[in-house]
Formats: sequence, structure tokens, C-alpha cells
Amino acid sequence: MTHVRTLAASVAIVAALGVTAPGSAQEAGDDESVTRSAELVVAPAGNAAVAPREVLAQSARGLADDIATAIPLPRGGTYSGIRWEQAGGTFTSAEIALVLQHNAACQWLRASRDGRETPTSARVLEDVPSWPAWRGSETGTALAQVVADVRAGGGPAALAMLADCDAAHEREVAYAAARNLTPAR
Amino acid sequence: MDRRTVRACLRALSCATICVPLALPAAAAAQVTTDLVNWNLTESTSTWPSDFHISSSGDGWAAFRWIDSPAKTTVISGNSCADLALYGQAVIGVGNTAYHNLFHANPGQCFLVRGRTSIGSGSMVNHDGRVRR
Repeated sequence: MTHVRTLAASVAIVAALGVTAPGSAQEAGDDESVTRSAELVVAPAGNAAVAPREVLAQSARGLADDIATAIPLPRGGTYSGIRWEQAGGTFTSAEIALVLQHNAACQWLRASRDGRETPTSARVLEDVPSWPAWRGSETGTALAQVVADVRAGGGPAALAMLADCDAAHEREVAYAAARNLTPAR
Repeated sequence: MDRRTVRACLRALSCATICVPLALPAAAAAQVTTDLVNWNLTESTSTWPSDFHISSSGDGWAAFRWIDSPAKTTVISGNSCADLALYGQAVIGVGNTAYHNLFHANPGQCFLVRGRTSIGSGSMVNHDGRVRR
């Protein structure tokens, strides 16, 4: 009986702390995010690995769904709020990958700020400046400063990007809801 | 030249070197420019393949101009990197190579530049443009 009480207390403590039991589905998801992010770090720069295609904006969401499988998102994350249809025109697969990676970077940054999925969010954010859409470019340098700010517990670059990401998220929720899609958390 | 004339000359010279620079207007904010070389536009909106950021040294405006005189009326926009929301746009007439403000934002804000020619005007190829940010 004592063992049962001890076990129950342990479960309660683990649940309260949000700690994941080793080998759980949640932990597997975290590992998968870290693995996918690490794969992006070694993918050719400029999204050169993405098969070249060009589609009308009305078809961009479908192609984005295919490309998105390679890009990690926090739990509850989606790309449903991206305004492909409203933006109109055409998109190449490299442009779609660029927007998806920006969107994913925002979702990981918000997750980190909100204390979700730590330490996974911290590990993925460390990779973000090296993702192929902007590796070696001005954007990569800017994102490295954002990550340095996060590591230091805050800073102007992280604050500015978070403000942009929060504004984008608010728009995304509205756009996804209008299309009966599940918005990102 | 007597001594008074020499002094007057020295006063004038020192004013020319010290006073005149002080009287000039303050230097304009050092904005960052990036050239978009050989941009091909059609009547369907397309995206320049790399992203941009509002610089910390500029005035916060993202602006665009054609370097090559445009043969067609064009519509150029600035859109969010994360969700493609429209931040602002400009309609640029034939032959207009002046800067056009697209939108104003805080330093660091990421944006994409998209563009098209006016409906019914056909395509415009290999024209260079410039983003000031």
C-alpha cells in the first residue's frame, strides 16, 4: 500500500512538473523535432534540396503540406494560417520552403518564450540560424542574434522578432478560422 | 597685405572650415539598399527569392524603385515572411524610377518583396530594381 501511495505521489509530482516519462510518445515527438531540425542544418543551402516546382497560389497549400513534412513544429503547431490564397500569384517550392521555415521559427520562438517543450524548443532554436532557407545570409545572422538573446534570457533582437511573430500568429488564427482550419497553438 | 587683412583672411578661412560644415543639414539616415538584378515579372504576382529586413540604421521605411526604366506599370508589395500578410504596396507607372514607400516597420522586421505587371500589359523581363530599407 505504501508503494501504491509512493507511486501515486510520484505520478502527481511528475504531472505537476510536466516531466515526460522516458520513452513516452511525447518524448519521441520531441526527439523527432530535434532530428528533423538537425537534418535541415545539413540540407543544401537555399532550399536547393526541395524539388523545383511552381504552383498557383490556390495550389500552394497542398505543395506546402508536402514540403512541411521536413520542418519541425512544436506540439499543436500548424501552417494553416499562412495566406497563400490571399497573397495570390504563383509560388515556387523554394519560396514555399522559405515561408514555412520562417513560420516554424516563429512557432519555436513563441514556444520557448511560453515555456513549452523545453529543452526541445531551445535545441531547435539553436539550429534555426543554420536552416537552409537563410544559411549564410543576412537573415541567418539576424536569427543568430535572436537565438543569442534567447540564450541570454532576453534582448532586443528576440523581443523584436517575438513582436512580429505574435502579430503574425494573431493574423494566422483569424485566417485559419475563416477557412475552417485548425490554427497553430 | 597688412596685418588686419591677414587676420580677416584667417577668420574667414577658419569659419569656412568650421562654421560651414556645422551649418549643413544633418546627414540622412544610412539606409541599406539591395539590388534585385534581372527581375522578371508577369501579370501573376511572383516573389523575389530572398527575404529582407528593416535595417536598424534607416528610417523604418521599406521602399522600392526600378533602376531600369520600367516599360510596364507594375505593382510591388512588401509581405510578411511568416504568413504572407500584405504590409503595403505601390503602383509604379511606366518610366518611373523614383523610390516608392511600401510600408513602415520596426528594425529587424522581415519581409518579402512581391511584384507583377498590370493586368493586360504582359510581362516585363530582366529589369533591375532596388529595395531600400
